[in-house]
Amino acid sequence: MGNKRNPGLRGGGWAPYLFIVPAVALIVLLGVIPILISFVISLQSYRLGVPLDQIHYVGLDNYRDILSNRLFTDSIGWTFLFTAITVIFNLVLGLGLAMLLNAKAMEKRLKVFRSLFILPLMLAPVVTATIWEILFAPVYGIVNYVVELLGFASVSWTGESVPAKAAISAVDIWGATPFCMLIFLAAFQTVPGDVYEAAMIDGASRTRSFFRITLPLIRNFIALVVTIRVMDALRVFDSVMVLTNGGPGTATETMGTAIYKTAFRYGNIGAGSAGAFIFFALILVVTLVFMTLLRKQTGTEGREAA
Amino acid sequence: MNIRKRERLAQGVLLLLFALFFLFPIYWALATSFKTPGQIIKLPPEFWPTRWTWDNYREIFKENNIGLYFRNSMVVALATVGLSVLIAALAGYGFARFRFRGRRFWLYLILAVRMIPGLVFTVPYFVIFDKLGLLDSLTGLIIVYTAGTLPLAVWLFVGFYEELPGELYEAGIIDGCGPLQLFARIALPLVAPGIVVTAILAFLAAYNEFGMALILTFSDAKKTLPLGISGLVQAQKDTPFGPLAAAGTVAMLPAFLLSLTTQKYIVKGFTAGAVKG
Repeated sequence: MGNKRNPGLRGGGWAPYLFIVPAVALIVLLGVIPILISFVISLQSYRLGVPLDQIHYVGLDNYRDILSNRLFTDSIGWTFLFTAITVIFNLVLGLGLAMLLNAKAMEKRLKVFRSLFILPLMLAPVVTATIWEILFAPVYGIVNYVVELLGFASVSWTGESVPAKAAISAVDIWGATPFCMLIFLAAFQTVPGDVYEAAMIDGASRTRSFFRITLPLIRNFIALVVTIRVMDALRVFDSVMVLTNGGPGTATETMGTAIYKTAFRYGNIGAGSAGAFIFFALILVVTLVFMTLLRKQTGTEGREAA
Repeated sequence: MNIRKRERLAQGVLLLLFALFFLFPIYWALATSFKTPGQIIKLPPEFWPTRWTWDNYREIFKENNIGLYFRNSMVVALATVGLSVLIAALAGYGFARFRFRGRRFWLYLILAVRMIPGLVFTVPYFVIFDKLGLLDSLTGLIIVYTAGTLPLAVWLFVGFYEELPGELYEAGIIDGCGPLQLFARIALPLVAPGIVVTAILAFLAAYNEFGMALILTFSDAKKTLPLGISGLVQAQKDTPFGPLAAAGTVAMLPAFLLSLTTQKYIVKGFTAGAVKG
């Protein structure tokens, strides 16, 4: 936040508060207070349809409740596996696409291709899932057409556990990779071209200079992409609700859908709230672990590179 | 020379593969939306429809209220953009221009709120809105989306204002501008590109949102597009692929328009948004 061009004005009197009051009020009213309310509810026997005067304090019962709820506990493993799969594909495909569009030969067409490849990023996850629902259609779907063309038996993409998990992952990889591409394109802009010339003179091969020069130089951006994508992937909700609704059975139920169903479908608002806090704590821990791990490798210059 | 040719070829093949994965699905939804039920279940599939029909569109507008959902989505998204940009433009200026007590605290509190998953807010919003009579209303959604898009918008605006040189304000003060005039006449016009960036991000966030709308609205009259489309999926046992594709295409229109007209800002927005987060 330090800035040389505009050092900022001290002693503006009432003026600064006038400017920030609407934002701060909204953040407090709709950000801070709801969190406190949510915490209180997570300690109460709050259920949909139960009269408000019968709701009472139950201590940590809701937390015990949700942690012994198979729907929720089973979803944790899959949510993390899903996150690992999608983030790895995001990284590899995003890097590949960015490198391809960054190549010299693409220079003239970069803008056209970029505007096409960012489309998935701009679509609603619900729309994305809908598009893939059409592609994954059981009998007449084009994915199954190709699968049969290749000589395999057609697959029930939402009816069987493993294919359904693959389908959900594909949808998320499709929607989020363009974001990674954008960040990597920006990252490549920060790498000076003469580094490669020097490497060429030294006789380094393309692959070698990619692993020895490019990757280390853009490691901050890689750390950034991984952190953001891990946080997002752990929250996956929309595409699961539309494509599989957690099924078959509860195979693709994620932490998000499990909490939603506990609170609003089964009416156990208290347990849902407790689940949401556990979910938040997990995300926070994972994010902090990633940040410290990646920072250790990359030094403290962190995000300033951008 | 030979090596260069092979490299070109490899690049072309790779690009084709990427396009197949990332762009074909969108084309396929478009193509499917113009097919008759008979064409949709044809094997081998018609890659370019032999006949084009508007039937699917007619059906979703006449029987599924897609027009209403689209209108609801636009109302909610545009109102969110207006409020979020206005409030963030003010706050960003306050944070960037002045050094005052509690500045860092409030700035980081705003950032912290952004890190909390939306799911944590669903229960309290549901309970509060129930008491205030804001459940199942577009107003409720607008409030929630404004609060949801505000943290990123504020942080983006702080960055935009900090790019402006301090001398600008001094010149303005010499010209006799008061604090409000400095903001409205000098700072705000200069961050216009930032306004576009923030507006696009807020629009997409509100227009695409599903989870909150799922919990906070329930009547057909208040459905936004994502809800309406997900309802279309679950309504029938046999998934109506034609209408579904048509609804998806309608929902995609703003994204198409935006990426054609404002690509530069979108790229800047997503990149800056990631770095600020």
